[in-house]
Amino acid sequence: MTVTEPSSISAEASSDTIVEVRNLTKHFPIEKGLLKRTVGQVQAVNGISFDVRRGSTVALVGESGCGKTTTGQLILHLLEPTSGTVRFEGRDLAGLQRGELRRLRQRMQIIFQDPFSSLDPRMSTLSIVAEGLEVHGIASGKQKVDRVVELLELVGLSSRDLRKFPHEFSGGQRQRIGIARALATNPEVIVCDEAVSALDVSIQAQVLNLLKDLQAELNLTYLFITHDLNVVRYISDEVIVMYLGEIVEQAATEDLFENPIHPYTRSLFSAVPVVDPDLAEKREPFLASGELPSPSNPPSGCKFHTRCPFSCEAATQQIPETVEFEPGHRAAACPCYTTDGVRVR
Amino acid sequence: MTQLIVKRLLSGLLALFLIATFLFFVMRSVPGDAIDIQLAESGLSEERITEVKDEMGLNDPILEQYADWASGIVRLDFGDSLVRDESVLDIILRRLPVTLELSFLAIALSLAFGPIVGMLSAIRRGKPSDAILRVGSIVGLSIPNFLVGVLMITYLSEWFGYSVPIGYQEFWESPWVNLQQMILPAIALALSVGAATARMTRSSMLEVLGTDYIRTVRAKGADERMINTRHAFKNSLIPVLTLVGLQFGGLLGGTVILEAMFSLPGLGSQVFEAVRTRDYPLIQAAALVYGAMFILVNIMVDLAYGWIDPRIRAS
Amino acid sequence: MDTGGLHAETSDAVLSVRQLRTEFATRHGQVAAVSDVSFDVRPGETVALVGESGSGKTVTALSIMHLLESTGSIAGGEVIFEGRDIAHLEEREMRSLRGEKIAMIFQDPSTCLDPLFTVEHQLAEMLHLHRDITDAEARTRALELLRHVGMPDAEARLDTYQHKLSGGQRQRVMIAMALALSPSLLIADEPTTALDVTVQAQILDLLRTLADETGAAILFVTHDLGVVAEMADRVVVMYAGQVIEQGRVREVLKTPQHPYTAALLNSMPGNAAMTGQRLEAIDGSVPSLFNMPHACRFAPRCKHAFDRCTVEPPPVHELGSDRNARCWLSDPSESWRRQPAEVST
Ligand SMILES: Nc1ncnc2c1ncn2[C@@H]1O[C@H](COP(=O)(O)OP(=O)(O)OP(=O)(O)O)[C@@H](O)[C@H]1O
Ligand SMILES: Nc1ncnc2c1ncn2[C@@H]1O[C@H](COP(=O)(O)OP(=O)(O)OP(=O)(O)O)[C@@H](O)[C@H]1O
Ligand SMILES: [Mg+2]
Ligand SMILES: [Mg+2]
Repeated sequence: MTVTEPSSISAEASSDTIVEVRNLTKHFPIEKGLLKRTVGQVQAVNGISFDVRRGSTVALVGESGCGKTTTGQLILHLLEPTSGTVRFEGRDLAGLQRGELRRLRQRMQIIFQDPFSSLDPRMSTLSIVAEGLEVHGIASGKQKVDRVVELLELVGLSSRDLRKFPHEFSGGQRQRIGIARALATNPEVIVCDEAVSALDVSIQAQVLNLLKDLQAELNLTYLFITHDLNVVRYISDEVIVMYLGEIVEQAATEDLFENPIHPYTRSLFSAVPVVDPDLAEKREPFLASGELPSPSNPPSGCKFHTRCPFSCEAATQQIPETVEFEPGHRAAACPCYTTDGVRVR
Repeated sequence: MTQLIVKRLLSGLLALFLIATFLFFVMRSVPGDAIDIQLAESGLSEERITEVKDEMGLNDPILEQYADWASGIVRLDFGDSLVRDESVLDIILRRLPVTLELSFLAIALSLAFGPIVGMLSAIRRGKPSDAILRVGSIVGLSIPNFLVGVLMITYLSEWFGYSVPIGYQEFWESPWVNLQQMILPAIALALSVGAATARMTRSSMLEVLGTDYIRTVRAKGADERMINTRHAFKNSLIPVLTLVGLQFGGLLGGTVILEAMFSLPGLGSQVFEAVRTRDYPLIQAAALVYGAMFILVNIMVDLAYGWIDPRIRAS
Repeated sequence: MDTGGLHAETSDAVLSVRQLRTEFATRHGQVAAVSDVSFDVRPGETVALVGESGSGKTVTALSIMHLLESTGSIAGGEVIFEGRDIAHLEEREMRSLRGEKIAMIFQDPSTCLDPLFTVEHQLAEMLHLHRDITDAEARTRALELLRHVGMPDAEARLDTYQHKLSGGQRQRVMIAMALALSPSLLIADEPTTALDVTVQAQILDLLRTLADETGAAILFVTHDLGVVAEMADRVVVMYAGQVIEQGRVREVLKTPQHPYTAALLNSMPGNAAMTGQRLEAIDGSVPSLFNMPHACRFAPRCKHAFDRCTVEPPPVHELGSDRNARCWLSDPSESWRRQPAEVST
């Protein structure tokens, strides 16, 4: 068991690391009045560090407002971080020239949540999918159309759909178009921001299977943002649990589901309804009380202490350190469940 | 909330200052002025004309004139009328009450009928009465108010042999005569504001009636009357308020013509006259008064918002 | 075919819906959003109405309450509430049932409370509508109710407006309001779908406790089979406006008889993740109301469909007490087609 500082994670970052996030922080100013005085900060993301291995799927989970989307956008450099770095293949995104950043963007794409509003209703499938090809000057004319057809076939649509408009498709089909659009530039990393959350389970299953197949075929790396733990368990290799802008626990998927350590992770898991009636009966409730505090005025010490089932005094003062409890399984070691970095309950 | 009002007051003052400055320079840049017109008709010699203008400060450098005028305003001294032998402030104080009464009456009429008509129209959506009310409100919106004035004067005398009592009487002298003199121009003015509020209330009410919280009230077992009057109507007034504030500007503009048309001795008919005679001090001061009225009404609208909507009250 | 099961018990049910058909007038003519729905809810029981988006769950719930939009109406069938058919009850009589005997809570708590009235006003309104009480009594009762639904700092919350409450707190107010007059039936339309899982768990817990206490029956609309497993005694599965299977939760989830129910269970990522299987997606999408398959509505997507399924609409086959399925495979003459392995999950 070792106490791991973010810097020592960096030492571990191996050659197959494609995205490396260090002490990433994003605070949004809260502005008020005519003069836009800053009256506070929304601490959307607060000093998080992690690595993403090439070809793997890392899931980012947590409740609404915990900073998942912000993290995804920071990684794509769609938002400027307040501090901290994001490295893509070892290169710091913050230091890049515009042109370089644009070329890098081709290799990192995003798929959004809502298949109904993320596609422009006045654009045909062809122009939606081809947009990236044109913007990045990858293909044009006949070549472009061929590539779009190829992409559509890859996601289970066909050349017949080229001239159709978004309203002519079902939700699952629209999400396929979104995926085809993301794939157009041959990206290596795809951020899926709640990409299947708005879909019915039967359709969600189609899209999840598609994403898995594409990953195997194209060696894609996914950063999979979701609040649905069942989806996480199915799709991801590694899971990062966030709470109020911070990482509370991080582990390989099976390790995390078999042995959740942090009280927040445990209460999150215990809150997910289980379909199997036998399992549902056996489960012991371990529920967080109350609701998410405001990220503009987070609790002191361990941010989870206001809702923690083990309410303990020390947690209100002491900011927990990240401890590696098992190889690759880190969690914020709050005094409410650890003593000297050793788990006691 | 108080903070909001203070902020509105300050920005209102700033707006007034800008209006004043703009008017001052625009008026001066128009060729020909009141004195030229008046004096040219009086047959005085060139020298005498220059002398008179000097006395009045009309030959000073323009910035100096501006500074004089601006500092006067702060002391509520708008100078003297160029045409009448009277200070502008006196004229305004004498004339303003008539205009205030007329505008108040017009707004009161449009608020008494507009929202209710809009609500009824929304409740009876698709029924013949809704169609009639909607057509009515389009007509109300599209007829210019002076035309309404003309039509009323003409047809009331033609069909009913009624004509408005001549010779303006103040309200406390003879309320009955005064109201007869006021009510027709007030109706003419209220028509378009009322029609606009009716339309806005209708569409906003229809939107509110489709919301989840109205469904909640229905699910509680409330009857339609309670749903419409207590919940839906109140919620639908929020956008209507903004509209009323904005429409007030148009209404003030309307008073100018209608006062002249109905021979009401208000500020409007005075302005009508002053424009013709290029009586700048008076025009400028009147414009400021109108501006101030508009801003005050909109501050009242803000207050009303806070009264209706707790989300605004809190901020 | 056993026809006794459902009908024999109609008399003791709080609510029995029989062959409900609800139509909407649209620009393209009349469409039936709900075309054949029958189920019972018995006193104190929680029945889940489950199905994918557009299957007609909300329309069924709103039909019972007579809260459909003006373009919609009950075009056939019966809604028997406490022994009386209320399908065509006059609005005035319906009003005295709503809130008093049948209460309802909705999906999105953030839009369900009137923004211009205090929490107290809205709670008291419910009491005043059906009881002859003074304002002071109403306030006392409102406070009691808020405390009862676990509202933190209940006294202060009485005078606040909904914009100051969190999603979970708003739903608590809705629940307090719904249960204020101890209705015999509570209809809950996806009451936790808009909430985070930890808050969802709290609200589900609250509903369970209160239903036990007051003896209210619950018709629980949801699309989440996990929530079904946790909340309900019996489940009614809907597809394209029809009930396709119903029965006790444990039986339906363990041994689904309709291929759609089975496929839905197999497309849940939680199950597949634990067994390491690939998700079984259901191909295609839900048919449009304007273009319903005229025989079995699920046939075009069904892996087990055979010729009869596309020709003859399957009847509802009774399968023992409280259990039925609308599928030809449940017909004794076709049962040879069924391989036992295919129906168990
Ligand atoms: N542009 C912005 N300006 C100010 N605050 C913001 C902005 N974007 C996000 N936030 C705040 O930052 C916090 C984190 O937001 P974020 O969208 O990353 O959460 P999330 O985990 O994706 O939540 P969800 O599950 O609801 O999508 C929230 O409190 C949000 O209100
Ligand atoms: N007012 C309406 N006019 C026309 N069609 C309607 C109307 N309301 C609902 N429908 C249709 O009725 C069908 C059933 O809708 P319903 O809202 O009951 O679905 P649901 O099962 O509640 O789905 P969800 O899970 O998305 O809430 C849908 O196809 C819908 O388009
Ligand atoms: Mg998000
Ligand atoms: Mg619904």
